[in-house]
Amino acid sequence: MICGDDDQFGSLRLWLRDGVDVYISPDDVVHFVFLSTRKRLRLKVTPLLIECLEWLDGSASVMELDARYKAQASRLDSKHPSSFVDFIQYLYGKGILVRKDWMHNAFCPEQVERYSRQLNFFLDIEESEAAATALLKRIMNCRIALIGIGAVGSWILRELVQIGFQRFILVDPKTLKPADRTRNAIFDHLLIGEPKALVAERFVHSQALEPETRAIQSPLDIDTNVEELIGADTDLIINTADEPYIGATSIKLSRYCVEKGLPLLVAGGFDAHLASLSEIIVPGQTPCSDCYAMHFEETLRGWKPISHPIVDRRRGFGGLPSLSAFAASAAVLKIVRLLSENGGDVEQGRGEFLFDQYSIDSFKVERNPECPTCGDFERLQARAD
Amino acid sequence: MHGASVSLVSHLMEVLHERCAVEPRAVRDAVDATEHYRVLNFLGDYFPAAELFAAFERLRSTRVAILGCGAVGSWTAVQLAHSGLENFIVIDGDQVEESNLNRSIFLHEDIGQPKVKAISSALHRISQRVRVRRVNENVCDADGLRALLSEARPDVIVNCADEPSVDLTSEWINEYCQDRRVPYVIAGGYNLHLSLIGMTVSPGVSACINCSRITLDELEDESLQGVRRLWRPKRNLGSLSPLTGITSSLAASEVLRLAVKSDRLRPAMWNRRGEFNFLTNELSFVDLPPRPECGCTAEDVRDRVSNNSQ
Ligand SMILES: [Zn+2]
Ligand SMILES: [Zn+2]
Repeated sequence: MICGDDDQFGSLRLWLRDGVDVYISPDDVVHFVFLSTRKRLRLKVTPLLIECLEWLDGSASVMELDARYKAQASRLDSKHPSSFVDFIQYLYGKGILVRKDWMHNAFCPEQVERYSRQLNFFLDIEESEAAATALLKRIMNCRIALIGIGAVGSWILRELVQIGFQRFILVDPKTLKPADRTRNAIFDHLLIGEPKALVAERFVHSQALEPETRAIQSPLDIDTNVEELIGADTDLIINTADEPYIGATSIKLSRYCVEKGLPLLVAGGFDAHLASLSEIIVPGQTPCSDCYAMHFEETLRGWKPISHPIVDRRRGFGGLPSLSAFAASAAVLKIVRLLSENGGDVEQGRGEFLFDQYSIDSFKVERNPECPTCGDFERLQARAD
Repeated sequence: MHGASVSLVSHLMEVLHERCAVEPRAVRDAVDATEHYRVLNFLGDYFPAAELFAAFERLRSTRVAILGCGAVGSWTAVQLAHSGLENFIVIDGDQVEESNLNRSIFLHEDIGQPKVKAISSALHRISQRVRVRRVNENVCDADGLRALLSEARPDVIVNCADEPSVDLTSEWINEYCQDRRVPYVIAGGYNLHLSLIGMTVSPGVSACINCSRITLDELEDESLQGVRRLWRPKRNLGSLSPLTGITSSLAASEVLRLAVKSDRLRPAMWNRRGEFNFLTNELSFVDLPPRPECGCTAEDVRDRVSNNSQ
């Protein structure tokens, strides 16, 4: 009997999630393999329940399938103590089954059409419809201040818009130059001479479903008032500005972000580090830019520079658009992970992608409890509350 | 440099020059004067000044064929155009749909257009010098592909086609390429949270796709052997734009390495395949060496080894 809340459950049309592989061994053990996490679940069930798994294509409701199951069971004339509904409920609870129409309940048809493959990806990572839905909603609502729309910033913008970010504050004081041909992801030779902030704004408006943007053609300088420049409504800041010097602007932004409790992503920038995998600063969780600065001062004390195995990393490293794309992709992945529930811990440290053999060099840096900027973060937050 | 002889200093400069650590002022100025100074600077880390412009010229004039203009194919094409390549052959019979926009370079206004036309517009936005040969058809067998490639004569082929399957399209490409000695890159794709980074094949030099299959079969997951896989039609696996970005960035890098045609900068994906993991941010590789039983490059590799040892 299905009763109470189960009525609702009985009417669901369930679908075996695409991101789960199902294997059946000869002794009637079903192996569910979660492709994203490689997690495995093994269940010993009856042959009839195994047969039922193939019915779960979303075409019939749980109640209808239960009736089909009971009919089959009585035809087999065997005692079937196992309940079909219990089995299905268990699989639904484990995120192995999802509702056929789960995307349509949360998003309009155009959004479903554009983001269905991505929502499937989120479902595999988050392992529940609600969490996958919430992740895309967070993406669509997040207001990002992107500082610098150049070799890495423009690629980041392009990917962010693709995956559904639509609220931006776009900061760049420069205009599009002919040489941007080799580095800017939104380059168009017809737009040479136009302010990059406006080119970027137009790009967002032509692609996003519900765009909301501000274009700012002033630079972020050492003495700029950050809040006056970008406004007070930002949820996340991305710094890719390499002038006057990314270290300086990042420390400035990091201090601002610690004060406001905002996450900051520092990507690209250093001429010799364009394939840097970017670092994300989450106040109270990760080191801030001052922590990093102190760490390097400490570890580099007494060290003399030695030559790097790569022949020479001066200005050339990262000059390739494909390295910009790599760095930008790594940065955008960090943002998606930051906003997701199951995306793993926020990384503490830095990484670098080495072109020679496509290897990643990374190392950990811990928060410095003595840090004058974020060492006091908890007390700072308590005072703010 | 007290007491150093002139010959010692000039020898030192020669060594530094050979190692790309110094370059003549004239080359420096010539590089700075071009729009592609960033790419030239990059190549300057591998090529001595005297060879630099010739290497870039080889890159610029390389004819690259991109089979399959979906997410990875479209991203790979634009990265190559930004890098200075000017000759493209793009092959795809599909049209741009709304559902493509979340991971390919297509724009909202491209919806309804053939993908090859949309790619061509994207490449022309980057440079008017770009020449694009558009093949608006889906290749459905080895003969069709051979006919097409024999006519277009690409120098490098990138496989981004997953219809009917990557394995099949790679096999067709391999057949043509082994025959004509044309190098190719399997761009890979994505499998859930993994970006697959395909291998680069230079016939007669590195393992081919069939060699790789022999090795991969040996590495199959043994814990699931003897079990039946549940039949699942119409599966729709997830994907995410930055994973496409990573796969395509490595495919584009491999094309550049092939395009410069020099031992100074060789492909990094010969004889291996890679995976980038979304959850851990890690890159890992599997070695896929040439297999003599494959019958492709094995003989050539053996010949060369025996020639070298003579
Ligand atoms: Zn700190
Ligand atoms: Zn072979």
